[in-house]
Amino acid sequence: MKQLHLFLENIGLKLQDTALLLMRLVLAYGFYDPAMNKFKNMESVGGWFEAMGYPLPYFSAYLVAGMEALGVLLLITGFAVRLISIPLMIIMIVAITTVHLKHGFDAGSNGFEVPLYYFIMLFTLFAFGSGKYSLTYLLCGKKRA
Amino acid sequence: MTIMLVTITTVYLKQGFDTESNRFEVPLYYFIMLFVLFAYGEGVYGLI
Repeated sequence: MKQLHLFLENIGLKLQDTALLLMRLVLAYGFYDPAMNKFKNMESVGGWFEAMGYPLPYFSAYLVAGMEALGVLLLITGFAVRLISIPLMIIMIVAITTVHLKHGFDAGSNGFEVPLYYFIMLFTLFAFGSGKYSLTYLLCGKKRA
Repeated sequence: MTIMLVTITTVYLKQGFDTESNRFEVPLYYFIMLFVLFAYGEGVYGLI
């Protein structure tokens, strides 16, 4: 039993940075369409934010779109990942509470399932960093995960 | 223990692509999160 555990653990240890990379890429892919759609339809996004009662609706629309777009770039390259994950997590919380919670959990019915998974993955990236396959590692070496 | 993890992983891999929702999005996220759990272990907040 213990041998099996140690065996799997050793394999797992070597896969840690790959796991982080996969999360970064999937998140970048997931944020790409929302970011691009926002930039294409900025007026209607601002109107939608206004209808939902967000403070400074048009400014927030630009801010959110900018953060998402920046997030796509930073997540792919693996730079300032911990930093960008914070605004992205906040965006997810806002999205969950104001948009998705009322539809329940299921992704099929526009529930909070997928934003929640994004939040959890961003949280993991915040905790563990960008991993070896990242610009951060290239620039800062082993000092930063 | 990681044994739990292995069983979870193999179960999910068997389930394959979720035909209910007709999309591979959520199962892909599950796979990635399971992969992370496999790589890092369960952490201290666990029963075993």
